[in-house]
Amino acid sequence: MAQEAVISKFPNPFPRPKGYSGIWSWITTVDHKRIGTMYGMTAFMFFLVGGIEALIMRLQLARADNDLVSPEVFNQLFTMHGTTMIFLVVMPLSAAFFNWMIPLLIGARDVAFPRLNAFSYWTFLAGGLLMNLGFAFNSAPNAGWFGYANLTEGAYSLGNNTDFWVIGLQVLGIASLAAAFNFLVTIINMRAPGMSFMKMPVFVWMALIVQILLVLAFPVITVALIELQFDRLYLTNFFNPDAGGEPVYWQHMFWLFGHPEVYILILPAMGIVSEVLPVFSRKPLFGYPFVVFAGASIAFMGFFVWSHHMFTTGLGPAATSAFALSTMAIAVPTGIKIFNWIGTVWGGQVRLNSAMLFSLAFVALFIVGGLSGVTHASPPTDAQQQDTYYIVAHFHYVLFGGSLFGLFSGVYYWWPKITGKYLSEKLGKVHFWLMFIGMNLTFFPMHWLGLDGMPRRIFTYSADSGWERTNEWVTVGAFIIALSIVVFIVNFFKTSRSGEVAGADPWDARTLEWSIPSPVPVYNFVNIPQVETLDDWWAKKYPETVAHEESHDSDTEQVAPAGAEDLQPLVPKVSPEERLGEDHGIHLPDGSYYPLIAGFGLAFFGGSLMSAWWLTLIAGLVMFYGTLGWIFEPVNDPEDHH
Amino acid sequence: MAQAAITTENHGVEHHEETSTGLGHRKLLMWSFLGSECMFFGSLIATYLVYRNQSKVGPWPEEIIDVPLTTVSTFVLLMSSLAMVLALNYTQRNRPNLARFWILMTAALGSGFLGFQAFEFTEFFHEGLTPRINLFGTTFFVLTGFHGAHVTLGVIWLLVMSGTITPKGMGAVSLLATLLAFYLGMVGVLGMVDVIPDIEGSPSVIIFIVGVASTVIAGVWHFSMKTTMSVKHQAENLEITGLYWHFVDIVWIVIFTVVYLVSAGDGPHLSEGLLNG
Amino acid sequence: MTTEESGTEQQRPNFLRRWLWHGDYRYLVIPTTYAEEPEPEGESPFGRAPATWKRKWWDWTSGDHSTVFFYIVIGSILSVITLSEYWIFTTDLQQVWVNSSLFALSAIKFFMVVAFFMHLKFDNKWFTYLFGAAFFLAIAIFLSLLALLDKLNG
Ligand code: HEM
Ligand SMILES: [Cu+2]
Repeated sequence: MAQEAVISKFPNPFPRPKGYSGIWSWITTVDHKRIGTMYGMTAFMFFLVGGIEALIMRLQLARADNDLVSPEVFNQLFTMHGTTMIFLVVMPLSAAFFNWMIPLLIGARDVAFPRLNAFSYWTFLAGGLLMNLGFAFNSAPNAGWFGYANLTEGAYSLGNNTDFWVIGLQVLGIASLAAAFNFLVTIINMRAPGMSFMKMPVFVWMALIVQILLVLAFPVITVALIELQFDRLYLTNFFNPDAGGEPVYWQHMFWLFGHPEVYILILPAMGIVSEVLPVFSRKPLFGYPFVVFAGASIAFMGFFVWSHHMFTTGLGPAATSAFALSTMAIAVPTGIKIFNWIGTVWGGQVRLNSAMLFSLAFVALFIVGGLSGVTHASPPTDAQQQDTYYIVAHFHYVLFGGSLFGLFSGVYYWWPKITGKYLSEKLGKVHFWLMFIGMNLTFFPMHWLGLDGMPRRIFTYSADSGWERTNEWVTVGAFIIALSIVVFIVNFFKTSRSGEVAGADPWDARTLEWSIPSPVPVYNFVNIPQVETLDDWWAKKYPETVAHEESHDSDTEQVAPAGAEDLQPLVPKVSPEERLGEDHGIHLPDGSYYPLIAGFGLAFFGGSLMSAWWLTLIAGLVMFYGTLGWIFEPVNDPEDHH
Repeated sequence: MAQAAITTENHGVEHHEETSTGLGHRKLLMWSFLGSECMFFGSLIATYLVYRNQSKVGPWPEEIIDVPLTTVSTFVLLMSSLAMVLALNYTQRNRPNLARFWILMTAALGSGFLGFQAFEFTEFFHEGLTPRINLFGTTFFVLTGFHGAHVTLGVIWLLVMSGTITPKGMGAVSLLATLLAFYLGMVGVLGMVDVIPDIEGSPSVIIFIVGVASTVIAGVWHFSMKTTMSVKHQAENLEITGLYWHFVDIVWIVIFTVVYLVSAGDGPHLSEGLLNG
Repeated sequence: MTTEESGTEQQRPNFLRRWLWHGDYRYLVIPTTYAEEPEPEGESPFGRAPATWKRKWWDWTSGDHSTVFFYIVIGSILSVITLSEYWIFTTDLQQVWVNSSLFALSAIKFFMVVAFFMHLKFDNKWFTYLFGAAFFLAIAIFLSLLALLDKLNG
């Protein structure tokens, strides 16, 4: 009855590319798995860049009164290190796992908006490059990852350094927001039949909460950056004290975003760990609903603690006490999660492989970071610790010991699913132990450096401060971490050439992604699974253990019989030719050039604001063209089409 | 009677069998986007309120704000919201001509609102209020400017939507022609109020006339394309456009209250807070 | 009052009654859905042409559906509120009363547009939860920010 919309008359010089091989098929891809891979690879590259920045800083600080780098370069290094690690490493690595795993874990063939997904990736890449472009002009951002006003105001930050930061972050924010809407809709709307919310894997739950945080927290930083950018480029007065503006207001806006942001960084890792621990303990997650609701309440409370970053700005006794209380309260749901993880491992048949080691280390190191966090939830203590290396120790325990260990755990855990091969366990364990030792050697001594009064963000210190010996060890630790990363890279290349082939379900795991072949065919699932319970795949493999579960037997009795390889016939066999899906009558969306054009156009547009108006005009046209082309591109997306 | 017309349970509201919630992906996307926009405009309005009465020099709101004028432009935007909901109503009832008419009315009223804003901005400039002069100027122009940018985007979107339900389809030429028509109409308004100092007197009047005329022609042209084509398949897309449009309207409802009605009396004296000031 | 559900012309003798009473329940009957099947040919941009009127023009629901008239009524109420906002603005009542009633009126307008023009009243509850949660969280966050900066009480 309803005839086709006649909207395709718009000139479309780039028809949707078809096919699944060659470089262009990657550039124009809209497949969530390929986009996930690209996210992961790009983020890892940025990880190396940020790591090198850190190593240079550590070399500079290894000796008192050192002059390896100038103060100006040091400022650029710590600013870019922080910004890179947060926005270009941990967030996109999480996005890589969201991309790869959300559809697989909920039994879907792709995300809700495949082209928007590609747009997110290209915008992220372009924004990351724009942010780093400052180095090429010798004006990389240099005012800290929090960009405090009025250091960042035009009068105090000459040159384009801060402009690269402001605009780069703005572009990255748009990429994150686009991805967040996409995943949000995907999780709400594309769960396999039968998968109610309380049957969703915890990783998907944490992903959902992260998307909600992104959607609600990023607009705040968007506005703050707009205000700063207007101050810098168009001489408005938002943070200009001469006209009555308040630099402290920037801090409010920044931390209003900034504290939810730290949960955006940690919750994905918590989700991964909550998947890994049950699998390698051969037990269901202890207290699933508690883990879920603790995550949700952390997210909600996270919006009302921002001022704990500003205790020393003098908020007044009432406000300071209120924020101290809310900050201490947020440690409660965090603690609940920790007990649940411990309860999961307790009494299980623990297999200590690399993935499990990283997850266990996550729990341990996160406890250290969480405890130091609680110490500076107390304002008088914080007044002593603020702006010292103690804070640096705190957030590296939660971000490195927490987020990165969790993400590496995910890498080892899902690698066989993604590539069809195992990462070498031997090298994996070397990687783990080097990283674990290096991490503690680097960051634990920072606690006492900080309590001894060593300030953060200083480019050198005098010899009579007594900090030199400790700083030496810290630098040694940093290089041990670097070595562990080298081991990981070796592992990557070695196993990609001659790795051991993994089956569909090598870990005898619990969730849907293990019910399909490894590596995953383009269409993921031949038949969309019908979900009946939490950990549905496990229940299908071992129905008898579920019966136990329902009769409330003790946890240990649920341990399944070993020898799960017998159950492989449950996984459909797919030949390589069949992987493209046409045989099964499954049609997947073709690629598209427009997300790429729109994404790079956007970053180009942002960057051009620093230069001539005609460049802005050209960039604006590119962006506009990319968007219109996108809108008018003939739709062949099965999800889009009724 | 009317009862007889009721046929099925879910009528024109699209139901998506294939999604977990039965809701369309895009509509869900739009609602979460609007949730996000609450935080966006919330931040901008909060900034305005934080800096209210913090300016060190004038011009002050009491010398600048013209409440009667803005009441009229608020009314215009409100009426565009009504036009929007009627456009959706007729799209769902599969009346292409009426749908197109009301879509274009929405866009025209939206452009009218933008014309008011352009007029207001120019007047303020003439009276010495610029984004640089004081905090009031800074916060006022950035808040209302970003709202205006949202309206502009909405107008373009509406025009694209009107193109997608013409029988001939939205060719590049017709899209560009309609955009140009509306653009000229806007420039005409701007020209009338001297935003472009170089175009004074007769040229701007000519541009204005050309703009209005081409808007009318575009409208008539669209309206004249009588057809029986089905437009129901566009109902959900138009509904999403409409959600965006109404949201921009409710943001203005808040701005009108906070920035105009409540702040209109602000002067060099200190304010007494949100309720008393 | 009649106990029969819906019905014929005789059971709905006047429009006031049809608006305010619905079966046994005393409440303002508002439409429960917003989309409708095609109307007969021949309408004008403002509604049905007189010749094809099948219902009374003041019917603001057709069965469960909202009608053009319903939207026009809502639009008029919104306009009247806008006008009275202006009127309140010009009075010289105490500032507290002026400001409080202005905020109250704009809240009413806000929720009317959201409920009827954006159809949250009729639509799936998911949308209400999504938008409502975000909206009230935004209000809570920014009110606490303003309170923290002492901007609420001067
Ligand atoms: C138990 C939970 C936590 C508590 C009570 C807590 C508390 C705090 C406090 C009070 C500060 C401000 C210290 C100061 O600047 O004086 C702080 C800083 C910080 N926290 Fe946490 N935190 C917790 C968890 C986390 C998590 C999970 C992350 C990230 C994954 C994180 C990342 C950070 C970062 C990056 C900073 C430093 C920001 C900067 O000044 O550059 N925290 N934390
Ligand atoms: Cu914090």
